[in-house]
Amino acid sequence: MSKSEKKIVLKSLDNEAFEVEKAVALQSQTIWVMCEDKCVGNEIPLENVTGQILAKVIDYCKKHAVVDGDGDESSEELKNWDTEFTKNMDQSTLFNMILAANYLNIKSLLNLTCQAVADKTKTIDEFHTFLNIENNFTPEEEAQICQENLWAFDD
Amino acid sequence: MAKRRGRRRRRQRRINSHRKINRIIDGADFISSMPDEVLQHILSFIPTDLAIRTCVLSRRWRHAWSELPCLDFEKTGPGIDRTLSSYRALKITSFRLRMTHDADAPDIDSWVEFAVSRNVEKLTLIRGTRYGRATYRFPDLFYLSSSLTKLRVDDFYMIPRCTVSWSSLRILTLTCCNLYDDCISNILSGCPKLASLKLHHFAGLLKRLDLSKSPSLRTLEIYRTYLSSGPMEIVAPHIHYLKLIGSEEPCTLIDVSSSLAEAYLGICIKNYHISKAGFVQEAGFLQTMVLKMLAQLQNAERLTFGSGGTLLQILSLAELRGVPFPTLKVQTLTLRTMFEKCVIPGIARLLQNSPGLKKLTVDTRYSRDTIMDKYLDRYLGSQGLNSVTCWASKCEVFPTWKEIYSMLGCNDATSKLLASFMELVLRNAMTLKKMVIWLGDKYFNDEQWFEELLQMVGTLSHNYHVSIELKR
Repeated sequence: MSKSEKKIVLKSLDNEAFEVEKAVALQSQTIWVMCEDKCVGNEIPLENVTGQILAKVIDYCKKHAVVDGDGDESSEELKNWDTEFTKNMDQSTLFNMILAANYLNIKSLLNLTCQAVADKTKTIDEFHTFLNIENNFTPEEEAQICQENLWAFDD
Repeated sequence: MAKRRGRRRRRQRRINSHRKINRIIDGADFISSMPDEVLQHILSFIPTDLAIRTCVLSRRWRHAWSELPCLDFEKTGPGIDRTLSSYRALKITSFRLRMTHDADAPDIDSWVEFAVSRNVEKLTLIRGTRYGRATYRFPDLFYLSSSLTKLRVDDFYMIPRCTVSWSSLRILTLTCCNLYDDCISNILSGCPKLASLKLHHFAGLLKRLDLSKSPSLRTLEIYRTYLSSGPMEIVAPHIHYLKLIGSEEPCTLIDVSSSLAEAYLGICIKNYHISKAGFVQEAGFLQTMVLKMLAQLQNAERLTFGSGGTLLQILSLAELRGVPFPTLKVQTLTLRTMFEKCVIPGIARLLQNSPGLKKLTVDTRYSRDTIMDKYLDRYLGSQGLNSVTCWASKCEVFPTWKEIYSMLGCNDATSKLLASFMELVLRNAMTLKKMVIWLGDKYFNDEQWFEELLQMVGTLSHNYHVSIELKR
């Protein structure tokens, strides 16, 4: 395999191009399927991901890739890296990472980012505050739903 | 109306994904616009009861939980049926229910039916409350699930009234259940693919566990502590792994597979069960039982003797009386014990009878749960042996538990004890390549002294050409 074949170009929706090792990019099942199809050239357009988010996704994939044997980070190290990776992400970045992981079909990144959201939402109030979920029930409706699932709300 | 609005919103999003992603919203309800599968994925990382409570967040979240493939109820309450009735997925991958309220039999029936009718694969049912329902029996449909691959039941009667058919079941764990011979044999003949069977702390009258007609069964775990009753026979011609924690009640292994690769053997005898005359009467029988078990395990390459040293004490008594031991093919031996006098003759004999031993691990970190020395001495006396000279002839320098306890603060004495033990091992295990010793950290956190210990170990290691690792 020549050197150029080992590389692949990912193009974000705002037209930012990223040249990455194939082994890094192929952690995305979506990209893998696109490459298998052979209907795309060396450049893969990703219409759902901005450059800012794609850069972060690539960071993640580089860290988790096993490229020519030098991906032998200890699992402990990798876990710490993952924790740091999501630790200081602001809410909108985190949500966009979730969407990107879902679209690109990178299971471990989707797990990591969804876990990060779950870690910040331990109560219903935290769901409202951290996720800015707007309650569009009428008070009567809400009371009725609570009543229907009373055992779950009863601490 | 709301639904239609939502659908329109979603369609709009698909058409114009660019605009959506460009306007990354801070502060707006961004998450609610995510696809269903993403909401579910987030919910799959939080406890099920909180996931269910998210139904009050907003209309978008009203039914988000109801397609979750895995439900794990750490608590239950009256009215849980109503919640379950709004569950929408047709298939449940995993369903775990810990019943914490006093439910009626029809309630439990309905939960079991809920899971089985949705082709549950992994099912865990725990009776988490002590009152009522002790004699509850599962409905027939529970015993007739073809989707079940993994089942754990805690604290129920396992008494099927029909012919069991768990055609896909591979892993079965029954903890604190009431078990009977005919029921277990009914269950076993209904599980052609069973690979792992774990029976923990069971009650009832299980006299014979015959696994000869379970050719796929590789892993067997039996804990006969606390609740077991009466003698038991285990016929296990196909297993590769056995973990058996016995009690003072008779247990016989029969026809254990010659391809058994690994075994963990322990015995739990509570000192308060031993009356003064009791142990003297029981000790002879215990030695016979344990030695017969060892004979059944002689093909295992990896052996662990656990449960705090009781087993080794019983082996010591047999050794002091000169009873012959079987020869073992063990290559990796793990002993969970302290270096006290009463286990030493047993350890020495085990090492002598393991001519292929390559690795020995001695782990002192586990809680000590042994028979009191005075009972051992009384037994030896009843056999016409002088306990003082008996112990002295076999294990010269080793202290009793009480002496060890008072010595643990003193570095010098502990170093000597450790050195004596390692020398005992090295003298008796001629083929040994590696020895690992785990020290309880409580007593070995003196850094400088630990360094000295490591030096001492280095010298021994060099002299005997055996790699020795000291861990804490």
